Amino acid sequence: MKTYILTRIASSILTLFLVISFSFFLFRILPGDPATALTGDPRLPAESKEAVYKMFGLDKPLLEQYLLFLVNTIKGNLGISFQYKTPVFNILMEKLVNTLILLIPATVLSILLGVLVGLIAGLYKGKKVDNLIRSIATLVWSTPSFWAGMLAVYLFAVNIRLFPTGGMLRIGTSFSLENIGDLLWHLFLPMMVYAIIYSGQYALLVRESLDNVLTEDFMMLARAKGYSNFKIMTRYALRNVLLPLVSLIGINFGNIILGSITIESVFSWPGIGRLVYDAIFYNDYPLLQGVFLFFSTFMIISMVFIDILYTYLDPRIRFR
Amino acid sequence: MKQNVNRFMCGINSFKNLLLSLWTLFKTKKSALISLAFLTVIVTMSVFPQFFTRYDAYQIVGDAWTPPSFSNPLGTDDVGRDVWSQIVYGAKVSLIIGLLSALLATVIGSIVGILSAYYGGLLDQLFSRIVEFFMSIPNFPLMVVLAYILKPSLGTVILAIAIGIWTQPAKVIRSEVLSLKERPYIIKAKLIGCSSIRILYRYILPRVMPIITAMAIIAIGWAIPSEAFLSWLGLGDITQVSWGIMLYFAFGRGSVAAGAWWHFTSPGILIVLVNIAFMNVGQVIKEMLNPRYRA
Repeated sequence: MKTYILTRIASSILTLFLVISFSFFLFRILPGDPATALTGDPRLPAESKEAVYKMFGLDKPLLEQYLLFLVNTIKGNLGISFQYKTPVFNILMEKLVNTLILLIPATVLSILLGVLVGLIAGLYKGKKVDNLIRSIATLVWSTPSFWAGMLAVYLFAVNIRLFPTGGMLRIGTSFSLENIGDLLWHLFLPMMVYAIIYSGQYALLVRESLDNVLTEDFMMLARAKGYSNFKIMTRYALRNVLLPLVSLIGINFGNIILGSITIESVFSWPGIGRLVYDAIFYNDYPLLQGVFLFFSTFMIISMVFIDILYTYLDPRIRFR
Repeated sequence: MKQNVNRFMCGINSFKNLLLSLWTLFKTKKSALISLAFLTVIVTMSVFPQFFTRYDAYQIVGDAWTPPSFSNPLGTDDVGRDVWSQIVYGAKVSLIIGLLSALLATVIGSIVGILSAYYGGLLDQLFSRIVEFFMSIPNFPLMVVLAYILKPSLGTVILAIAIGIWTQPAKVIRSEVLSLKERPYIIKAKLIGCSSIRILYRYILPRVMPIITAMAIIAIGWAIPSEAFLSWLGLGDITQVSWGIMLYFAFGRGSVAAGAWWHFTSPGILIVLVNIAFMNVGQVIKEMLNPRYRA
């Protein structure tokens, strides 16, 4: 168990190192030299250019550049954004809170919604409710999140003006306890779109695994013992449904990141996902690379957490 | 000569059988049949766009953002181009990008999957680590970075999508070949001295070809929304109208704020429908090949 966790952590550190190397060699595909990619923009002031040039040793041989890149990236030196003219790392840290404010409630909500709807479908398998839920879940799952966001903005912000079209707070205000209501008002629409779009596949998975669990021997035993339906569902069925759900959440980090990019871009939510849109719009390579490294790190670390959580949840793995 | 004719007939016969069994499966699944019919219409539309619309995709036909009318069934966009014509002409680019990137991803995935399962050992270790690496980094940011670095064009979008999705077919095909290579007839073929290339080509490839086909079709269902996503972010080729490019213009030029719903609803609906249709068709083929998947 301990060795498993340790190897898992070691392998993820190796993956992180590979991601950084991968990101370095992507430079090489760029037309021109890496110096252009990191400093070659007229928007960047001369002194920043020089600082980046020195920091990444852009006049040194390739191997040395690579080692410097590794060290700098590990230290959090990701270069200077062309657009914002500040270190990319600072921008990322500044936007991280905003992303979490949106993503945590949205993800939790999507899981809750998915589990609830999936359980209903699984319990009434083959009935009309099940068919309806299955069709809606498939439909929702196949819908591009950015398009759903555009549709929601049109319907609820442009058409009936119930919610703001975007942003996190009213323009000109900064966050404080008094305008938490304003924040929630801005949060509602992107959060709901995200939650609904990503609940689809959780629902489909829960429905499927509930179906598998219900036919297990221990379920029959629980029934034979005369336990109430509620107890059977919560104590026996739900626990086993949770396992595949946890691993799906692990696999799903890619989609969570996709949602961060699309939903934040549509709703102008000033988070890390929105930076991807900005970086492309303003042709800001250091920023894009920084976001890529950040998302990769986030995903690799989260997957380790999920794997460890999984071993705790599943006694078959824990006691191996 | 006669033998050749016989073989030919035999080929037709089995091909006919394949079609027949496919047909029976499609008949039992109404959703798959509808999907197939829908995809046929979309493909026809992309091959013969001129039969479906009077205007060119980039022809300015009226005022900006005019609502749907008799002459412009889906209205006009932000500069007065016919939305329906863009849908018709855009089908081609969306489908081509979807098909080619799915094909490329499946080819890479198949080569990696087959070789690593068949040879095992160090090669398998290496390939498996590579697959794991690509699966542990978020694939959409990866696609974005690749498409950004390689500069927007159809080819780079195709390459970026293929690199983003090839691991799935690689994994599926690897596990399929792993179980296949322990079958008695493969072992016997090895014993009588068939070369590895012959075994791979004559005995393994034909057996995994169906699952490869199914994977390719399912991959199209991932590739088309990915194209839409990349194009929408501004990484597509804006000189070639596709459904994603339409959404890019609709988003970037304020059709949402202007309330011109006709500009952005139709491309999105088509992406969703095409996505579901490929998923349904792929599922049926998967079921036909492998009774295990049959519900």
